[in-house]
Amino acid sequence: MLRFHVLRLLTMAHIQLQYQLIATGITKGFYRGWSLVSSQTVTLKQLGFPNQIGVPGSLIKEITALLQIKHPNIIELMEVVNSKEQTSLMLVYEFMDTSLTSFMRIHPKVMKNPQTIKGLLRQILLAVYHFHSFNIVHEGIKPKNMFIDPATNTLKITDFIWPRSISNSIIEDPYEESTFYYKAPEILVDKKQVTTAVDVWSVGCVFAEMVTGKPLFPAKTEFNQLAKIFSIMGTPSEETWPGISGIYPYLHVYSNCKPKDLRKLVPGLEPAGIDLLNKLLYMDPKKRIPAIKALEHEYFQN
Amino acid sequence: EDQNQSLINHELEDPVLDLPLQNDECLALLIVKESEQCVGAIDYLNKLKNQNLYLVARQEAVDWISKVHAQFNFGPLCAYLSVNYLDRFLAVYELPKNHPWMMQLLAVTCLSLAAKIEETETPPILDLQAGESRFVFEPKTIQRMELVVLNTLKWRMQSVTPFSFIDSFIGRLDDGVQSHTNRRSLI
Repeated sequence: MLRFHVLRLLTMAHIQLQYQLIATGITKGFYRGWSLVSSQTVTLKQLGFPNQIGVPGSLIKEITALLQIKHPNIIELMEVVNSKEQTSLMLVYEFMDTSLTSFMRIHPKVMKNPQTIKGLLRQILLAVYHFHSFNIVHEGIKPKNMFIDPATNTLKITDFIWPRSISNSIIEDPYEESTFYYKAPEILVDKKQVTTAVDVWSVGCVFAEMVTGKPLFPAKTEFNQLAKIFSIMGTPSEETWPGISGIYPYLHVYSNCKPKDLRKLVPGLEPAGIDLLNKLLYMDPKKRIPAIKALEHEYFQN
Repeated sequence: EDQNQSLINHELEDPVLDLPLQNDECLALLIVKESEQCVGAIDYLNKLKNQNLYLVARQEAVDWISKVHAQFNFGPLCAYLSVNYLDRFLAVYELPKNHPWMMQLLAVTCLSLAAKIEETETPPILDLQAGESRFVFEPKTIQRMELVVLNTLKWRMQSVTPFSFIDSFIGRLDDGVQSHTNRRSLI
């Protein structure tokens, strides 16, 4: 399957004569390329629409917005190129190399420094606040979608235009176990509950993972993800999360868990960090801290 | 001034509602953006003036758009955007003259794109052509045309329209009521 994509992309690049493929497999669905026009390395992503129902509106809005967004912590979408047959698109991003996942693996010592984690979390929140102010919800925040320049520790968030907005794209959803570790409880309960708060939850998960090096909610399957969250954050009730029984009629199926102490689960994090983590991982999305408020939190004061 | 202060604080509290402030800077930005999207406008206007057939074809396309627009009860901005895409496309792209269906394909595509940008619910492409159309296109064809239009318009689909300016001017009037300095600057 992968070879098929590469072949298609190669043909496309040769027809376009603008970008040349250098390597594949930076992460699934992305390719490294070389721009023959500007002589620089770029990251390429190809999207196709085999269903022939037109270009999805969500994709048009996202590309329109992303082409305008310029932020030091968001990967720049440089260009959108049509294939010659006008059947698929290639997105050209500024080049990115090391994902946060690899960075944590390669530099465990650097990650032990609380100031490094503070700096990275700040950059994540700045990016999230920026695209939230454009009314864009990412919905796929996870360590694999963040890239770090090891020389400067600059972090950039990527992958807004996820195949999620395109049903049955020829690039299949790169289904990985880890994808659902970062999903907020409200979208596990009901996919329609998407607000900017779902990104804040994911940021909380990434925060804990940066401290411990391990995912905070590693469920075996997506089905078990909700139970895993409840087992740590406590099973919600109408008191802790008003309206939950209305959106989730199966709540009674889950055993009644008490919230666990995050200080024990995320050892080594300073008290202000624990307080922020609790606010990022607040179960009721309406009371979860917005990105801008999180940036003003005491944790970032020193 | 207190009122303004509380407005700003409110916006910080709720980033989702953090709309750009309607001030001079914003107005200047609108004018810049508007002029950026007017590529080839003068030649295009001359072409419409000098070639009657071209003018008629455009008018037919606009009529078709407004008919279907009314049929689906789309909002006013959707109609404006459709025609805006159509004109911006024609200003930079030479449609082959001997294929009258091309203009109709463009009209369907522009309406489909505008509905996706502006409407919360969009009908399937095939339904858009349900009325009396001289030509009916396969979804595959319209999808390809969508990609051509998006590319030709450089994905600038949030066009600056008179609606954008109305918002800006109303914002200025509100400012004038709230603060004396602003009222003076308006006079």
